[in-house]
Amino acid sequence: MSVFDSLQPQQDRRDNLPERTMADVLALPEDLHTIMDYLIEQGESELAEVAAHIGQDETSTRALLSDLIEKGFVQEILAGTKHCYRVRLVSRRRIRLPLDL
Amino acid sequence: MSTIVSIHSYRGGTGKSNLIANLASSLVQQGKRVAVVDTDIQSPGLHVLFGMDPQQMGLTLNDYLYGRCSIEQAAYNVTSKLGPDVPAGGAFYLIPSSIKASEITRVLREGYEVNLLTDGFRQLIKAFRLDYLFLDTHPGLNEETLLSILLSDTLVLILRPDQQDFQGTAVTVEVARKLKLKKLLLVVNKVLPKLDFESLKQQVQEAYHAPVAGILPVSEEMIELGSAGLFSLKYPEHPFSQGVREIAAQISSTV
Repeated sequence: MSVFDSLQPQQDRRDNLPERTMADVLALPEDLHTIMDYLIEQGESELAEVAAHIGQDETSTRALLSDLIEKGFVQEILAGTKHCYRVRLVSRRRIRLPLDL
Repeated sequence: MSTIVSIHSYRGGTGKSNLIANLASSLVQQGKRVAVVDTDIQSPGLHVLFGMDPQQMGLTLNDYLYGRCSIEQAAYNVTSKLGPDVPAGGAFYLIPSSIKASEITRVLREGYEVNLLTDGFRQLIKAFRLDYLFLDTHPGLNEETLLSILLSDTLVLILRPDQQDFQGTAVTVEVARKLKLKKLLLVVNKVLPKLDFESLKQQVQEAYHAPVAGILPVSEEMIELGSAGLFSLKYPEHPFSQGVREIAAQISSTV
């Protein structure tokens, strides 16, 4: 089994996540909504920065961020050597319009 | 430190694009560095006020959002449109949206990545050392509007003295407050000059529990101009232009 095979399930899961928009953010519980607002404004942030912003310890913050990742709102990225969190939002959900329109 | 200002209205035809262009001009004439982004990608029109011919228009916000150029490449320096009296340091950039049907339908069909837009705003602020970034939004409540409100330091909501506008603005204010809006200013536009402006201002402030930054009169000159230029440049002493300067002062004072 190659390294690519082991990554495939993760990729499949990401591809199956729903597209999220700002309307979905509004419907989130307060603690998750606060994190989303912060990440949208910051662009990308490390765990310690998010924890400092919401005033919680890193373990609790990591759990909240994991919840957002599971729901398809946030992605974890590698920025240089740092692990950062970044929102995963689209401006609107895709709609079916004829291609020749 | 730069300030992001969104100008929004619940309904179309409130004079949003005219207000944003004239407000931005007023700040540039005070020596500020300002950019205006036409984020009304579904029905763009801001470029018309700057005399940009859609057939001649080069790169746009759409090109940036679909990876065809950098955001700086889609920015046009329109400072010269304000004439020779712009103080040293003042600069005015416009980032138009495409008026091509195929580009508009692509946005409707596919949307775009929110991260790209927010990264673009940050890049514009940095590259052009902006004091103010203005966002012209699509009217009504939609997902793109919610994003603009969230990103803004100041939201200016524009409405007409009209029952539909009054009700819609109430909904918009409610949603904006859910997004933990930092600063909200209201502007009532197209008001009949015979009305008591001060009384109207008090009523609107009490109804929405928010400050009214200006009451602007409906004017024949504005209708005659028909978006063919910046009103406050052509009629600097008109009550509309004076009102715009007062609103600009209130935006500055919120920094």
